[in-house]
Amino acid sequence: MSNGLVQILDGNTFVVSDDRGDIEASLTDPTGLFSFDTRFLSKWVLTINGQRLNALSTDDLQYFETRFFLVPGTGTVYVDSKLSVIRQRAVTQGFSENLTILNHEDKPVALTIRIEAGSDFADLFEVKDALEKKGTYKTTARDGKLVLEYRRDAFGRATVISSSGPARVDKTGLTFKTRIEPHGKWETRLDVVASAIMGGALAKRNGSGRVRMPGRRSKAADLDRWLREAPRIESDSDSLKATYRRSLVDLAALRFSPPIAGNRSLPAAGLPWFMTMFGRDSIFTSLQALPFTPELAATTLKALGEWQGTRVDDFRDEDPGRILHEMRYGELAAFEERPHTPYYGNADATPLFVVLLDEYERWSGDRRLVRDLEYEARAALNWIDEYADLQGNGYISYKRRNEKTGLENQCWKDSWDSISFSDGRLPGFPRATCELQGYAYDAKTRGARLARLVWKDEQFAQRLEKEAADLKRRFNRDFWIEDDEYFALALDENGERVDALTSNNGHLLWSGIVDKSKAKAVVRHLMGPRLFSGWGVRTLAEGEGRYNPIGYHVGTVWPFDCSFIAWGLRRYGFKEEAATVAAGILDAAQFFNGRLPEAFGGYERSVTRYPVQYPTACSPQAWSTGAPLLLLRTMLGLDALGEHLVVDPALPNGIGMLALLDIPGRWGRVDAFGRGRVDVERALSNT
Amino acid sequence: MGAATTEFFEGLSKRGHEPLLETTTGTIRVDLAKNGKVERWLVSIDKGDVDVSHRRAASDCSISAPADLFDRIASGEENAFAAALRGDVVIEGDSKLLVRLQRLLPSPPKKSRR
Repeated sequence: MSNGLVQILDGNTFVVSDDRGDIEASLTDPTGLFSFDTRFLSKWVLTINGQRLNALSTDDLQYFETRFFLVPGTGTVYVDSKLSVIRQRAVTQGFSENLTILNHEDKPVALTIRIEAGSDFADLFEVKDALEKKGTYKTTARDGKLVLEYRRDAFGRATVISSSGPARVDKTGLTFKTRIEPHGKWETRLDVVASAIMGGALAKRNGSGRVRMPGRRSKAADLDRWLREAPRIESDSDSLKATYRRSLVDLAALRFSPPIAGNRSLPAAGLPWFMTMFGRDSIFTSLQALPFTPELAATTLKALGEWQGTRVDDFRDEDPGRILHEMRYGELAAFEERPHTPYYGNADATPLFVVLLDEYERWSGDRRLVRDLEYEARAALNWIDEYADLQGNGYISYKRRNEKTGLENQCWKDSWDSISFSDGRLPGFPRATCELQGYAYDAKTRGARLARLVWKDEQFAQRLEKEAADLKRRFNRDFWIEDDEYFALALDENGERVDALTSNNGHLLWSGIVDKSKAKAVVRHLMGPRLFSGWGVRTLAEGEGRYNPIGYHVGTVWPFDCSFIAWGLRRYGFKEEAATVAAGILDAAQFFNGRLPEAFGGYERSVTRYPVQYPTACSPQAWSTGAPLLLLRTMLGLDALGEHLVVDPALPNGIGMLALLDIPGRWGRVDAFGRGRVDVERALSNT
Repeated sequence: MGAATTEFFEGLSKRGHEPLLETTTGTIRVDLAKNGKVERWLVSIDKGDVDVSHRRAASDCSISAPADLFDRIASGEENAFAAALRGDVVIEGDSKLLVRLQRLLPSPPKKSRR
């Protein structure tokens, strides 16, 4: 809730307002009511007798509901109002707002209550990039309703505003004239409904790619159920318990039901601007949350499978078998001014799709889904060799075909300067970043297991295993920087090693592509002073040409990144180092009330003493929300082995005791316990 | 009716079984409007077995579009999902079936646009 802004949401419908509940957006100002990537209200301002209101307090009741306590008058320090105003707002198919005014005086008051309303129907991309609209607007005030419309050819969006009490409606808002008795109150309910216009009529919300929004009560019950079904935590560490609860609630808020998933939901990428399906983010978050809320993984796999690429489409960077990058529903996507219907430009989600499918089966035992997605999983595995090997050297590379609106860097570090040589030079394209090869190795290895176990295709399993072994051998030769003993960030268009030292080495451990003999050296780098800040592992090592402790992918610490690094450390047996990374990130979480930001500064812990948040518009971010969950898993050493849950705890000594109860899986529900015995104090401060 | 449209539906019919639709069961009605007339295609899918006809029958999902637009969709020139978001193609019922049907559409012709 940065900049005094208040946001509530349900799925990808959300409201961002100031602390009075007012919305006064401009084309570039990110406030308003948004649904399916369109702004449906850009103005929503309450006045009483011509006066704006003052905020006394704001209660975030739930992620979908908030309450504003207000008094009339602005600009004075001293507030002595005879009126109280309460706006209680909940997201519905738009939002509903219960407006209550209390008269504290011994005499009656006559009031003119006014809501100014309007909409620019901006596309989310327009809000980000300040673009002009191409369609036409229409406003009608009739039958007590204010209807705002926007049309561009057959594309139509409408906002319908109505009230439960009698209002005088004009084209810029609603007016209520009332008299409130001494110590009496006045109430009305305002409804704002966001709709698509199809064939000249307002669309029914259950068809046409729209989602029916559940009511407030069912949403509250749903959140209760969500929390109840997740494993319970017991610990002497109050901050760990608080972080865990925060993560579960935020994950609930980040759930998004794509129009094709029925009522099932998957994790969207971030709130509020990334409330949509992202291949990479949805997969990583599902992996992090697997031991806690396995249903997210199932929905993610199904939805991404539905939208798997089948064509060669340069505008969308689509190939057969490729898993989507990002889906959008707004005007610019509809008119193909942006390629997000959906856009496929990423090089990692496709192998990660197979990784998630296998990990999901290991935990859940749900072979039916593996059978149902056999075609998609095979197509994903085929994509690795058939479409992603752009240089013909046996490695996944990326180079966008949509040069106008496509993404340059198609890996998780997707900013323009994220991939660099040690001396700061940027390599050309195609680029084969190292972690992609790790994911490919893991996908082939796990794909082989599924082929043997579920698809009963021994030949395919053997082929995949052979390819994986070959890839691992070549990778450890071609990417390894002998003198400094770490893996290069990438191979460039000439096959030359892009030699910057980065956190990507940790993802390589997670994937298992690292030769055992090299692991120790890699871990020494990850935990060494150039990469480890005391809070976590920097994206780019100190001393590299482009290192900047507050550079997006060139020096900041990403909690999501660190959680997978911790998993990788565990995979190679480095329990204490994994506990150290977990301790650093969980310590940082305390400074953000349990809600980890997307990234924080790479400054040394001993220097700043607190983690410096990287300024970003999105909070919570799904994979930051998932990070504490994955760290709980790595600290307890949870793994699925056959029909059993393995528990092998290695907890930092800041945590006395940790119990996770009722962990769901193919074993039913099982508990895990651990005690903090790993001394991390020195490692955290001695950087 | 457009050549690409006919080719698309007849190709479906000829194949009889479509591996991309093996987990799909449902009936899609496609209404294509041209000069005030509507041509109907009915695609029934039963776990990958596809039956194409002009029958009148109940459907789980209906797709309405101008015939010339659908012809461009069937040839890969236009994207069906973007057209649906624009309102040029109107979907009623289970939109999942549109997503499934879309997977069978051809790639855009090289260098035809953009």
